[in-house]
Amino acid sequence: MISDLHFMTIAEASALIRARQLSPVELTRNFLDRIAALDAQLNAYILPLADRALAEAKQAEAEIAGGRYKGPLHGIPIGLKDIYNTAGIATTGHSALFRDHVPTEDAFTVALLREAGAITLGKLSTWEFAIGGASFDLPWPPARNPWNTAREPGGSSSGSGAAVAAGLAMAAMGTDTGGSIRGPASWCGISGLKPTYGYLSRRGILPLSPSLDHAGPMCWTSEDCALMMQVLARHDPQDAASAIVPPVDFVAALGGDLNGVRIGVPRHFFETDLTCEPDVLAAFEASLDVFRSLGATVIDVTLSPLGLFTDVNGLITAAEAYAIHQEWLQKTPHLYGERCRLRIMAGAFVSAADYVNAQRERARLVQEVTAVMAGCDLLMMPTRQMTAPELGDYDSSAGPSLTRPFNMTGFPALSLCNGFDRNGLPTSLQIAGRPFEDSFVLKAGNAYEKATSFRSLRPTLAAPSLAAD
Amino acid sequence: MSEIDPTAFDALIAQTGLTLTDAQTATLRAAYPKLQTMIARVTEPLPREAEPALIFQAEIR
Amino acid sequence: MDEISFAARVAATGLRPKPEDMPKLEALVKDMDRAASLVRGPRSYAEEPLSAFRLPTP
Repeated sequence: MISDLHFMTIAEASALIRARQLSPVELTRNFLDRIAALDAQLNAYILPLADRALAEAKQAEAEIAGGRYKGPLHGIPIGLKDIYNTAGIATTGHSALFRDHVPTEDAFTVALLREAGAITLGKLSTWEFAIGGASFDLPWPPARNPWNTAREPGGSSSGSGAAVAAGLAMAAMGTDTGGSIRGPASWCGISGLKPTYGYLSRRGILPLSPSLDHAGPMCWTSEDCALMMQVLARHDPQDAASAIVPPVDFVAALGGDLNGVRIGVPRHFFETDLTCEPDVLAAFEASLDVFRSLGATVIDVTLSPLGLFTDVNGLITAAEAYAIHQEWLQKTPHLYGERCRLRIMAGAFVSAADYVNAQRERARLVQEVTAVMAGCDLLMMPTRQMTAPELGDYDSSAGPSLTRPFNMTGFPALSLCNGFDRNGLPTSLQIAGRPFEDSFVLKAGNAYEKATSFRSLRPTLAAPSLAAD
Repeated sequence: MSEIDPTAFDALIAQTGLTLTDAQTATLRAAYPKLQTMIARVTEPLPREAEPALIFQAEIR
Repeated sequence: MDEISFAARVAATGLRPKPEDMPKLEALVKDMDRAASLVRGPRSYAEEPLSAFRLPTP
């Protein structure tokens, strides 16, 4: 008897499923029972899909029993941020505006996951249309952090981060326009990859800012992110930004050592451009020591001020988001929650010239980071300068952001757990790489996770008392 | 196309940062309905997933 | 930019925010204006934006 099925990684579960020692139906039922018992504490799910998930699990089980094993995601229960279109299933963007929006097609990435045999447990909470912050004036409550339910899980992929950390999904899909995968990965203590822009199709995902939007996996480990990327990294001829790159074996690339790897650290980002909590800084320095012990060398590098990356990202996001929402904001602003409504409305005030100049400045910043990365293989820094704040207190538009530089450049960036602060909340490390070297970023993350013990600790959610009625 | 409110038009002019004479402002105001017509063509409801023709590329090629 | 009321700027956008939204919106726009000031200024005429128009290759 295997205990704690819900805390297994994809790598562990898929090995058992392949060997027919673990039933996808048993696994899925375990997650569904857990969602039913515990999600009221987290609000990670907007729409659990219990019947459908069980049907998919039974189909997977039959396929595997029939010798038609599809690969490591076959029979693995996952969740989808509710901005991923799902055919015949509401895709709301966590907004009253889209409460009745039922797409006719799956997002390209969702279709890939289904083809690979993944089981969809349900649709997950997000900040409204993936911007703003935790809001209490929407049709569904905001997700909460499983390490402390009074805290922010981060966003905008808030339900994705909370569900994966709490063992309510084995993996989840998130999106990232300014840090929306890496932020919740940071505060929920999981591994989240914002792939290189163009690696994963954005088709069928509600757009926020098309030139900055990225789809990506959120998992307990970097190894699991690699397993997801193995399925997700496919050219989509119907996504204009989808890149055509040679196939990569993300799992095979996890092997080998880090001898000679050069890590660049833009210390001014988190030492002078913004203020980091001491526990976050201490965890970061300890992480660098781990990489040194694995054979890497660490050098300081200098980039433009973090505030410049953040502001240019903010202008582009505002202008592009407003272009999408203008009609609705003018006609039905009352269907938005306040935080999302105001953030996107601000885009009405960005002039066309300022938008184009922001894209010109962006070109310069990409050239700058490209030049710096000629002298190092990876960049590392904390993902967030602090651990999870009180729910509702976080303003994602305030101050410099350590995640936005990699939406600006489109370079791949991974957030993973690198310890816990004095309150038991996860701290995080961000690893960025060169374009389309996502597998190398994951290799570094995997090496770190294997060399440390932080993946052995999970948040504890108390089962509701039967007498609580 | 309805005529723009004078105060709103003054706001648009002010936001450009341009220094204009009254005559220049009047000329622009007279021409503004044509611009409104053009803008109206791109603010009709588009499919939510409609992409701009300009695409960001992560690599400088 | 000439002095201009925020209410007039809002009116020019066609938006009709709730009165109670105005102070927060004004603060957000003020921050956006500050960010915009960072990307203005002299540039080479050859400096392209990073968004490129491209047609499918045969």
